[in-house]
Amino acid sequence: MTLPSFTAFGMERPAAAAHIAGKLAWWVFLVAISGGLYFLVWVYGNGLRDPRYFDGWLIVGGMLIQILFHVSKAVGLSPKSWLRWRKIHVFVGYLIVVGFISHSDFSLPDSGFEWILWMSFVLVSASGMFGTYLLWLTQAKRPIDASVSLSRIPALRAELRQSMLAIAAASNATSPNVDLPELPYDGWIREFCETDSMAFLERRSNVLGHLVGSQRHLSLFTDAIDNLARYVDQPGKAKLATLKTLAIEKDRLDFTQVSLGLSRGWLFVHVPITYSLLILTVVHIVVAYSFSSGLW
Amino acid sequence: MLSWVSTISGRQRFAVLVAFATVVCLTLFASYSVNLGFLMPGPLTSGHSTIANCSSCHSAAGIGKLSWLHRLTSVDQPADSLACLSCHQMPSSAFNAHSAPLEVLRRSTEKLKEKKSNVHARFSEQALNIVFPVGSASPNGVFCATCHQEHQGVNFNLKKISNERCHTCHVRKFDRFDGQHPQFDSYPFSRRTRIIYDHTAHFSKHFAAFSKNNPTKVVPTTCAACHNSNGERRLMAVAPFDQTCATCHLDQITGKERAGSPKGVAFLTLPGLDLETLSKRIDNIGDWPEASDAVITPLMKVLISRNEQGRAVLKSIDGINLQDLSGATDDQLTAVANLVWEIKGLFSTLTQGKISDVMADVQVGNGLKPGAARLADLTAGLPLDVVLAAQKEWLPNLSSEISGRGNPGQQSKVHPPTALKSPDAEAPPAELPAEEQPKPEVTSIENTPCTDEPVDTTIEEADEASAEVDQKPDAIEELDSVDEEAIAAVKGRLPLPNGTPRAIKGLAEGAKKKKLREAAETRVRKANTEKVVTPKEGCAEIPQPVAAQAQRPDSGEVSQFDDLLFPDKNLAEAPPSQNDQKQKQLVPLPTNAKSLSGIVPEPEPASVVDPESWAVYGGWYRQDYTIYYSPVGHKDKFLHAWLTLVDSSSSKGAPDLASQVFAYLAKKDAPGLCTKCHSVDEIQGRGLAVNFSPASIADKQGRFTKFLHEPHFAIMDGKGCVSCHQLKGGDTYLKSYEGRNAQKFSSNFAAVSKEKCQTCHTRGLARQDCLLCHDYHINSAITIITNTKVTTPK
Repeated sequence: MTLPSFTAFGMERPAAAAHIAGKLAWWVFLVAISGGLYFLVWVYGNGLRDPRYFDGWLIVGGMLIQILFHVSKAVGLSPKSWLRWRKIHVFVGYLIVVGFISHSDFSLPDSGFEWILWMSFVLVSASGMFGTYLLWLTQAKRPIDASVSLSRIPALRAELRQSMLAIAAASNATSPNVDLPELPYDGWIREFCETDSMAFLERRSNVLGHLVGSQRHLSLFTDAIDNLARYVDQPGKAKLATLKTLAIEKDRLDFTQVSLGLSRGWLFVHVPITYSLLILTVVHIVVAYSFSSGLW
Repeated sequence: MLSWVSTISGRQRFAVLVAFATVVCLTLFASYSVNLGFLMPGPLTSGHSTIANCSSCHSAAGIGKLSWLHRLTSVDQPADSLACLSCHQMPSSAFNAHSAPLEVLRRSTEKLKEKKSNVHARFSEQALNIVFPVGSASPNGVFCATCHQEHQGVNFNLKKISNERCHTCHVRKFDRFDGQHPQFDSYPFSRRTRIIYDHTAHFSKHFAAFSKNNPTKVVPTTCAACHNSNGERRLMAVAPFDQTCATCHLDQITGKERAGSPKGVAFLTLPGLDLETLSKRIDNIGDWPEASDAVITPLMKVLISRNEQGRAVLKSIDGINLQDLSGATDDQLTAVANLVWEIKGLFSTLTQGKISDVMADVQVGNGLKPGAARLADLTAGLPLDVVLAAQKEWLPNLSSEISGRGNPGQQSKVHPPTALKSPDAEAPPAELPAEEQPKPEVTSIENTPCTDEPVDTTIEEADEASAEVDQKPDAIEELDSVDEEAIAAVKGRLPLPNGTPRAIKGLAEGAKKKKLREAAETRVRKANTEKVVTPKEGCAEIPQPVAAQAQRPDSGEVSQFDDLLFPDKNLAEAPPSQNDQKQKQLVPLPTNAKSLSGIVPEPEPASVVDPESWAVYGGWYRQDYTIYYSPVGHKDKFLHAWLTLVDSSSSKGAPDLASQVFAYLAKKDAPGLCTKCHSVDEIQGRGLAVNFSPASIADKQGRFTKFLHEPHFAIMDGKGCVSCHQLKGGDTYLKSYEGRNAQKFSSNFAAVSKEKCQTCHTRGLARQDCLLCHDYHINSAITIITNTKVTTPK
């Protein structure tokens, strides 16, 4: 029995296995450190101290590391160092989330300031995790062409449109003479190009579909091409094949646009709210120590 | 600036803008918020929900909008906890572990160290000790917020504490109750019971014997007949005396079943004195009954010591045998004389003034004066008539003596010691030696019946009779061998209670001598009777015997001086005329005495009722030269007041007055028999104390362990209380009470073992967390009532 060809994320089997193993190790490491963190918090609390001071300072420490990543970008590290920093940034980010859950004692806040602080943290964390997801989406799931920039995508999309219109306008002059009335293959293709294909081309970027990694919209269109191809002659099939290639390219451009756009957009949430969170955190620490009564 | 702005990206500009907006919003919040509520980390528990101001608990919060920031610069950790104590009152040791005194903690720690087992601390505990050592965390104590974390929501349980937290500090760590929890130490007997009640003896002997002798009366048949936990759930309280012990023991308290010593507490006495020696060597004690052989009671000493002078007198007679002063020094005799006058002064104050004149100055031991309620109990409604009657009979010339003594210029006029006849004896025995001869009673003008015979004649004849008796000393020779008590009975000494061995002995021997004594008495009585003059019309008959000798002007001794009698000193020194003598002897009858009946009233015959028997329900009575108080039943206020007045300042063997009173009233056979059932404990630093009350919830204060009986009633498996409390044999129970140390105890019941509890309190069955049986605060906090001022119109 021959094993089916195994591919994942566009990688061959050994590379994919190594990738999965690496990711698994990463998560195991995260879970282990989180478990150790909770144990320390529990032990700290058993020592008659208020554990919120312990995990609170752990969070602050993690936030300082995150700020260092921001500083490192400004300093101008080498791409390799920058990538390493980014990995640390993501990992520490998850640890901070674990610490935050411990700090909030698995409960929602009760007062106004606490809600603001909580929401700020959640927004920063969520945006950070979204950025991590985007990174995974563009690196592992569906790599994008590094040469394509966000600003070029509309022009490329227009070129695709022109190509599609050209295909629709083209006719097969070498059609053999037959007795029966000639089937209107070109007309079918033209009609398909002017209706379904143009709709596909004109369609917006399909952000949500690309964000969740869905290609259903593309599949629907290519399936329609494949269905039509069964009824056209050989030249028509060639036209439709070209049309299918253009559709795939258009979808790739859409995905690139979405990923690049969101990659810029999530930082507009992540970074400014981080600034706000830092200020709120300082106020929170001051308030906590101003009203502290028990052991730290 | 602009160049910098131009270099940063739009995203960064937006970030700075958001940060700036955050600061602005916070500033606006801080400026325009009504209070600091928006900073509050969460709602308070329902009990604290009405606290509106942060500063009520957070002492540094202040009232300004940003005043709470001052807390950052000042470290005053106890301040907030002290704010807690403003409502939840706790002792000064509140911030110690368990709010227990350091000495208690030290002892507990040492005790646990002794029990240290082979159980190794768990990994988490080891990690805690290494990474976060507790000792360094709370050098100044354990403050409230250490365990009671607020702002956790309305329904949060502030008292919740985990087992692990309990183990943090304990030197002996263990896993769980059904694991390595230490064995119990003779639980629940941390001390002996306050009420001495030998369950074994009652169950095996007393109940059966009582039922046999009193078939109509009911003895307890179940534990619940005497014990219940309805009032305080932590206690199986003992039912009141009236519902339990009274059936058998009430008569023992009131003295009905008392066969020996007096049933009452001797309160006031005229102590017996060696008058012979005193008369020879001291000349200023005035009248004193010869027949008294009473001693000064400790209670009377308390009254005498109400002032500095009294205390000095009592101190000066310490160690002197008042009834044998033959070997006494002059100073000692003077001290005795001073005592006599102190006692007379006491009686004078009690009869001429108010009882408060004496009691208000009473102070015992700690120097604190008892309050009005206590004073009322201490005197138990002592009637004036009792004291007045005693004074008239014992010291009939008291007022004149006191007034004479009160005039310093006339001190020398006080007559020499004069022995008064026993109130019970009609005449002294003729065959008594001269020194034991009762001398005629000295009378003053106030209470001397009038006679129309010259006093000196009477005196002379009485003297002759006495001389006649004196000439026959061998007539009473046999009496010398008579038991002292029998003689004393003749002289009017305290009658012994019927049935006592001493009384039987005294009566048997006394009866033998009675005829001899009666013969002697008859002769003396005859001699005196012959000298008694028929009273004049309008004058009362002179009661026997007639006072004479004291006022003898030719005796060569200075007699009692009275300003009323001798307003002029020359008159006082001049020999009294016959008329003067008459005036002294005659006391006109009340005008209505004759006008109403036309008959001179006969003196009432002496009551034949034994005063002690008369006071069968308790109260005051007078017998011989002592005024007694007989307990009126259980919870007698008089005994309780005196015992509790002196208990805190007395200690075993100490010579102070409080100890004497305590020893007198707390004797095993003292009237009331208080200490027969109420054990006496020696409390360190306080002295002895009678446990009048059984164990109460207040006695549970300071204990680490709590237990509720009620939840266990349903699981006693048909055996009832015996399921846990099994009677054990032996007779060591009562021996536990021979000493004063309450910690030495041998119960009638076997201790409850940990294994017994463990049958249910184990994994999968009943709870076994620390807080089930142990409270953290050994003395729970008291929520004090707020000060609410009553509005009154101005």
